[in-house]
Amino acid sequence: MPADSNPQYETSSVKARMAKNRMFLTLCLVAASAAILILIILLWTIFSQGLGRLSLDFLSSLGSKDAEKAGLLPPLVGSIFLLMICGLTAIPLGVGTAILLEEFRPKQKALATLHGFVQTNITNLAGVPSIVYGILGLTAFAQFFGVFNNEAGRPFAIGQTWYHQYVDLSQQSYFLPVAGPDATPEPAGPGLTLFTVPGGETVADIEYRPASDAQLLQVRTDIELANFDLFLKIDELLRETRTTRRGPVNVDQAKAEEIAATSLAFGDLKSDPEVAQEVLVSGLLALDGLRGREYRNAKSQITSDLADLEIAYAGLDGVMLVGTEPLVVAHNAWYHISLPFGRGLMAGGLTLMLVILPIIIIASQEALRAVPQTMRQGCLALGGTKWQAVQQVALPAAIPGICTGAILAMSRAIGEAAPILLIGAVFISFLPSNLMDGFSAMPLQIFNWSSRPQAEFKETAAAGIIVLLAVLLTFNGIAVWIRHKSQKNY
Amino acid sequence: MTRMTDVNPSATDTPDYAAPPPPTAALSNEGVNAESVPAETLLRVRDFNCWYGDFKAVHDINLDIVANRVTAFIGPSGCGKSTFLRWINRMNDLVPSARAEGQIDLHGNNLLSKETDVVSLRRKIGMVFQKPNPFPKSIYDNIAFGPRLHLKLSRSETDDLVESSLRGASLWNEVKDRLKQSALGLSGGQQQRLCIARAIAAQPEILLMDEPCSALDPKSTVAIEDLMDELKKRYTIAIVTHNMQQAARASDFTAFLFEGDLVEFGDTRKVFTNPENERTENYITGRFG
Repeated sequence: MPADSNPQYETSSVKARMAKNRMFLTLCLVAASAAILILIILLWTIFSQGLGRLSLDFLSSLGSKDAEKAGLLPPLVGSIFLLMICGLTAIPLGVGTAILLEEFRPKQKALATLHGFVQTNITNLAGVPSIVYGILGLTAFAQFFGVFNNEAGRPFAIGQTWYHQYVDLSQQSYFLPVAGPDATPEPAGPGLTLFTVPGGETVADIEYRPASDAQLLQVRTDIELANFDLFLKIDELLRETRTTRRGPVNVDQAKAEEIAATSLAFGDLKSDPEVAQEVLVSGLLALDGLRGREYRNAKSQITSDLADLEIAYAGLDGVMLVGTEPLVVAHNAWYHISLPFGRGLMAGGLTLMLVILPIIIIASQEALRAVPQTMRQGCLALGGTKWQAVQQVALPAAIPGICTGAILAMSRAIGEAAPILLIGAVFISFLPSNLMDGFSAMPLQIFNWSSRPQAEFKETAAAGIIVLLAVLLTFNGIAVWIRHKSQKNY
Repeated sequence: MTRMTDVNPSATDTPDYAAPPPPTAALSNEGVNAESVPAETLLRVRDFNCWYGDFKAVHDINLDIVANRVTAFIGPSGCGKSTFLRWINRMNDLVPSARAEGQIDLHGNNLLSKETDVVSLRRKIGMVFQKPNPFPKSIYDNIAFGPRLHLKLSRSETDDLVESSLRGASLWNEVKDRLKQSALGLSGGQQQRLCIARAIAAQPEILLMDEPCSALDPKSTVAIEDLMDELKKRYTIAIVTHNMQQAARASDFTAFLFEGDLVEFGDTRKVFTNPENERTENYITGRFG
C-alpha cells in the first residue's frame, strides 16, 4: 500500500464504491434477465400452443370455419404482397427524400425555410399513430380524395373484361362479353359467341355446353311466341287457297312465294330473310293437296324448320339464356389496375408506405450524416459534381445504415393491423388475383382467430404468430445479409 | 509497363512514371530539373479579400504562384491560409456564408467569377486534405475514381493510369499486390500518399495541399516531402503547413500570413534566413504563434 496520510478514509471509500459497483451490476443483470425471461415465456407459450398446428397444410390451405382446417395462405400471401408494395415504394422514396434533405440543402433563405419546415414535419410524422395514416391512405389511395367519384364506377381501368351474366333454369350462369359496365343488355343475336361457365364464379375454365332438350324446347317456344303473328298470317293465307272449308290447300310455286313474302313481314325473324323465304317456300309447297291430320303435321314442320333456322343462325343451340335483366359483372386480369385504387392490396401497401416513410427517411438521413464530410469533399475536389459525390461516395458508405433503417421499418409494417383494417382488409378465404383485389393480412387473421370463442382457434392463432415471426426474421435476415455484404466490401 | 522490384520506390519509380503531361505550355518541360526552368507565374492573385459572413478572414492578398514550384503558406492558426487555399479550387463554395472578392487569375481567367465552371476548375486544381480521406473502396477504385468521373477509359487504360499514378506517389511497390483490397487498410502515411495519387490521377495542373502531413509520423512526412520534390516537376504545388522545417525544406517560395494579412512573401531561403518583417522573424524563430 502506498504511503497515505489517511488510509482508513481511503479504504472505506473504496469498499463503498465497490459495493455500489456490485449493486449496479446486479441491478443490470436482474433487468436483463427479466426481459429475457419474459421473452422466453412468451415464445414458450406460443410455440407449445402453435407448434402442433404448424404444417405445410396450414401454410397452403385457405381459411375455414373449422379450426382444424383453417389455413394461413390468404393472409400470408396478402402480407407478402403488402410488404413488397410497401418496400418497393417506401425505400426509393425515403432514400431519395433523405438525399434531398441531407445532401442538397438549399442556400436561398426562402428555400432554406421550406427545407426546415419539411424536416420538422417529417420528424413529427414518425410519431403519428398508424391509424391516422390509415385514414389518410383511405382518402388518398383508396378514394383519390373523391376526385373520380361518379355513378358509372371507376373512370380508368385496364385488365378488366365486362360480362352480362345470365342464369338459366338450372341456376347455370352464362357470360356474354360486353363493351363496358354501361352496355345495354341485348338478347343473344347473330355473331355472338356464347359460352358457359360452371358455377358462375370464374371464367377460368370455359367450356361449351350443348343445350338440353328441355332448353331447346324452351327456345322453340320462345321463337314461336315471338313469331306468333307470322304463323297466324300463314294460316290465314293458306285458308284462302282452299276450295271447300275442309278441303285440301292448293299451293303452287307462285302462291308459295307470295304467301312467304307476305307473312315474313309479320314475323320477327333474326335470320337472313332470303334463307327464311326459301325454307318457308319449300315448306309451303310440301303442303300442296294436303288436308286434315297430314296437313297439320306438315304445317308444324314449317314452324320447326323456321325455329331450327333461328337457333342455328343465332347460335342458340349451345346455351339458352333465360331472364330479362342480366347482371353486369367484371372479370379482372392479374394486371388489372384501376383509378382510384379502391380498397385493395395497392391502397393497403401504399398506406403502409406512409407509415414507414418517415422512419426510412430519418434513418437514411442519419446514415448519410454519419458519412464524413471529408469524403464528399474528396470527390468534389477531384472535379466530381454534387450528385457524383452523393451517388459514388456518400450513398455507398451509408448503405449499411439505410439497411438497418429499412429493416426496422419493414418489421413495423408487417406487424401493423390498424391502417390496413381501415383500408378494408377482411378475413377472406381466397387469394387476391390482382393488386386491386381485396386482401387479408397476417396480424388481422391472427387477431380474428384469437378472438373466436372456440379453444381450438387459440392454437391456430399461435401457429399464425409463429409464421409471422418466421417471415419477420426472414426479412430481417435478408437485410442483415445485404448489410453484412456491403460492409465486407470495405 | 515494367514491374519495379527495387526496394527504394522514390528513387526508381520516377523514370518509369509516364502520366500524360497536363495540357498546358507551362508544364511541357517534362524530365527537366525544376530549378532550371525559368519562373513563370501560373496563378496571379490580386486584391484578394474573403469573408465568412461578416468576419473578414483575409485582407488584400497580392502574390504570384509560380509554375513547377512549391509555394508554402505558413502562419499561426486562424490566419486565413487554409481559407485562401480552399478558395483557389473553390471548395469554399460549400460553406454557405463564405464569399470572396478580388482576382485569382489562371490562364487569364478570374476563377473567382460566377461564370467559372467549378467542376472543371477542380479537375484542373487538385487538392489533398489534412486528414487522409480515402473512399471506402479498393485501392484501385480510389485511384481510378477521378478519371472515371470525367473520362470513358478502357480497362487497360485505367490499369496504366492507376499504376503510373501510384508510382508518381511512390506507393506502387507497397500496394501493387493488394490493389483490390480496401484503401482503409493502409497506414496513415500510405493513405495520404494514396490521396496524392488519387489527386494526380485526375491529371491536374495545380496540386493544393492543406497541411498534408499534420496527421502523419515523421517517416511518412519525409516520404511526402520527397514526393513533393518529384511532383513539382510536373505540377505546381501550393501547401499549407504548420511545420516550419517542412516549409523551409520542401518549398521554393514562402508566404507568411498573420491575422488575415500577407506579411511576407518571397523566396523561401530569404524568408527563413533574412526576413524583411519583424513579425515573420518572430514567428519562424518560435517567439510567438
